[in-house]
Formats: sequence, structure tokens, C-alpha cells
Amino acid sequence: MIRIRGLHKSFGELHVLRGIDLDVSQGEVSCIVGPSGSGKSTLLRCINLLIEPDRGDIFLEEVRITDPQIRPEWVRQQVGMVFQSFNLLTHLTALRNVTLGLTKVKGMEAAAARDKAIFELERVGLAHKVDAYPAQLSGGQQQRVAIARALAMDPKVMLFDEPTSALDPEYIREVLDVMTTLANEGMTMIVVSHEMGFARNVADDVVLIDEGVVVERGPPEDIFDRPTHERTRAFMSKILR
Amino acid sequence: MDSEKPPTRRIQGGRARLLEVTIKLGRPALALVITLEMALVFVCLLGLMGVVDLAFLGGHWTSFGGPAVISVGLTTVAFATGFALAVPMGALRAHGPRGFGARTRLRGAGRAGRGVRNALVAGGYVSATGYVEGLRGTPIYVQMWIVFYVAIFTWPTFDYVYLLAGYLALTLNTVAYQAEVFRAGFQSVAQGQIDAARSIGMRRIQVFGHVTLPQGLRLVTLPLVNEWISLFKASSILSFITIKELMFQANHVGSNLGHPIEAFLTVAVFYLAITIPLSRLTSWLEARNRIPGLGFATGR
Repeated sequence: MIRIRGLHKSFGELHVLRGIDLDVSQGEVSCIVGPSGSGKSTLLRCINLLIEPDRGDIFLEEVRITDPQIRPEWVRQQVGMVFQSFNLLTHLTALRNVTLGLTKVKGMEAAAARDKAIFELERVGLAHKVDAYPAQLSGGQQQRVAIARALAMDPKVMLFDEPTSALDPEYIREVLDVMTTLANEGMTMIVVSHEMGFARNVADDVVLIDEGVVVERGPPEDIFDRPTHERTRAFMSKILR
Repeated sequence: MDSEKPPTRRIQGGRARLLEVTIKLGRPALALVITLEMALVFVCLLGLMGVVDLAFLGGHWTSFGGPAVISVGLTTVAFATGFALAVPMGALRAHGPRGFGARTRLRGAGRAGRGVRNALVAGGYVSATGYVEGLRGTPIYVQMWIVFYVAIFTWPTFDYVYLLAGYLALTLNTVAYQAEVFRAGFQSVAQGQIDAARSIGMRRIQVFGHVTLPQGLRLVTLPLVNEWISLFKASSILSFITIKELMFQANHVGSNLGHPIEAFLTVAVFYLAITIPLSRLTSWLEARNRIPGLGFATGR
């Protein structure tokens, strides 16, 4: 589904991604972990071209999306993204946050977009909050609306950029539950997260990134319990107690 | 969001009732009443001291009504024209010389189309910046005379050339200030909001229209009203090019009828009576368009 080869990205002097290779197959949940500043978020943002990579290639279902002839807007319709800070549009209600892309990007009729949006909001358990503005929702509710907004575009892949890091502990569960359901339904997901419970139970693949390269990847039990690389071991000993 | 309003402080006696009335009317309404009352008391005092001819005032103050309509009308038309021109100018300024999708790498459109677009954006940015700096750095009085002479040499036979020159002078000036207001507003929209809109596949122009513009406009309501008030007061210089607005009428009553103190006191009260209700209007506009969590509380 997603194939990344030799991806490089620098910001000025800072060489963030130094040749990333990554494969995610259809229906697979890939969990990316690593120290802060290792390039996890940059990698995700490269996949939907919010950041344009300097070198290397990304393939989405055999389409080379790093090809200059590909419109980034087209790519972003296929790739849903959920942000750490939710980023719901503050001037629109929950419903309008979801319908905006449907009407303006997909060109759906208003009534059809509304039905679709309500369906997606029901999926994340927020049918009763359609008319609330983001500021009237809890963090967990906002993040679930953000997930519904991304899902409404019928993406082929969902990217999650630390979706629970900005949440109070009592709201983390509800967001992880939605993500788990989504994974069980067969959605292809790339998740940057340090929720080790989620990674262990839901992820098919855990990828450790450090200093802009993939250090080690494998099934969660291998990465967590029998890491082969010294850097993986050092990182795991810091986050697993 | 009603539950988030701070509880009204309880104060005993007559002051409490006054306070309640104040809160109901809103502070700006009370400010208007107090200011106008104080102005009237001041004028009456001057009358008792023999400085002001109250009988003359009573007979002539209504003659400022028509000129007031011209002042407000010209200001508003110029402000509206300026608004329409300042939004794109502010957007150009906010996005910088390489904004609006100008990219280092070729993407999407053909190479030629991309090059032309980048050149247009960069050229637009440089022109907008030059315009803003030029107009903000010179007195509106100087600008008015330049526009005036250009206008009368260009259309010497046009009957309304004075009015046209006045309108153009105000418009050209307010565009520069409003463009800076919009630039600040657009730049205040959080990057996360723009990322979110782009992440669902919206094009740059859609992101601008559906996110940056509506959020930015709400942020700049207050500075925009300030600009209208500034422009309204600046419109007094149009009396020099014989436009029969408020200041022209004051000069006429002061010089030709020989009552300068009465004339200028009256015109001052007219300016106040128009500018103060505006702050009430602003609060109302802000409250009406307010969205929970966006922008600042109005403090009421």
C-alpha cells in the first residue's frame, strides 16, 4: 500500500530524515516509535505531502506520489491525517468540520455530505455533538471528530501523529478505542505514538526510528521483548518500566 | 456558553441599580450618553460665561445635518472600496513573495504556468509592500492634494471632479491601512488550522476562502472599526477641496457668519455623536459573530 525508499528531508542545516525505507501493506497497522526529534512527524507529513521531501520516493498503491506531476491535493484525499493538537477548524461546528471536505473537495451535494458526516460522527460516538463548536468539546471528543473528518474522505491510509499526546489521561481510552475499532475493520494505519499498550495489542509492525533512519522493525513482541539493536534496547528501557 | 459568564457582582442600593442598567445597555451606550451630556453641559457653561451664543447655536446646529450625511457617506463608500482592495493586498502581504503555492520544485501545473504564477505573486507582493509603505509614510493631506491636482488636470470639465478626488484620496489612503490590518489578521490564523484544511485535500485558494479569511476577519473587527473612525476624522481635510462635509460647514458658519467657537464646538459634538455609537456597534458585531474559543472575549 505504502512503499518508501531512501527518503531524505532537511530543514536548513538540520538533516531530519536520512534515508528512510518503510513498507506498509494493505490493512496493516504500523506503529512508529522513537525519541523526540527523530523525524517521526516529519515522515508522516511527507507521506501526505504537507512537507515535500528533498530526495527519495513514496509510492501509494504503485503511484509514485513524489512525482512532480502528481497534485498534492489528490494525494491528500487518499491519505487521512489526524494531528496531535486535533486542529479542528475553530470557526465551524463538528458537523461542518466533517462536511467541508466532502462538499468542497469531493464535490458532494450538501444533503448527501450531511448524511455521510453524521454517519461518520456516529461511528466515533458523537452523533449528539454535531452542532457543537470545537471549543465546546473535550479533547477526546475533538480528536474523535478529527478522526471522523479524515474518515469521511474515504482514505486508503490513515496517518496518526501522536493522537493521544495532547489528551488528559481520562480521554486517551476513548480515542484509542476508536483507533482499535478502525484497525479491526481493516484500515491501513501508520501511527506515531508512545501508547505501548496500543502498539502491543493492535500494531502488526513496530518501527523504531532514530536520527532519521529506521533502526529496527518487526512484530511488537520482538521489538518490545527481544530487541536486537542496542539503540532499540536503550529506547525501550526508557519508555517501558 | 452562558454558564461561563462571570457572576454579576452584588452591590447594594442605588448604585446597584445604575450598575444593572449599565450592564444591560452595555458600557459603550453609557459612554455615549455620558460623553454627549458632558459636552452639552460644557457648551451650556460656556454659554453662561458669555463665550458661546446659545441662541445662535439653537438656530444653526441643524444645518450640520446634511454635511454629516456627506461625511459619513463618503467615508463609508471609500472604506468599502478600500476593504475590497485591501483583502487581496493583505493576503499577498501575509503570504510573502513566495506564497500561494509558489514552490521550489515543479509540481502539478506546467513549468511555464508555474513560472508565470510565481512571478505574479512575487510582483504583487513587492507592489503591495511598496504601496503600503508609501501611503502610510506620507500625510493624507499631501496625498489629497496630489490626487486633487491630478484629477482636475485629467478631467477638467467633469462637474463632480472635487467629489471624485475626495473619494479617491480617502480610498487610496485607507487601502494601505486596511491591507496591514488584514495582513496581521491572516497571519494570526494558526498554522494547525491551515494544515488541517490542506490535509483533507483543499487547494490553497480554498484554504484561504474557507479558513484564513473567515477566521482572520473575526480577529480584525475591532481594528477595522478603528480604521473607519480614523478615516472619518481624516475626511475633515476634504473641506480644503470644497467638499461640503462637516468641517466645510463649520468653516462656513465660523468665518462667514462670524461664530467660530459655536461652529467648531457643534462640529466636535457631531463627530462624537457618530464615532461613539460605533464602538457599541462593534461590540454587537463581535458578540453576534462570536464563536466559542475563537478570538478574544469582549469583556462583557
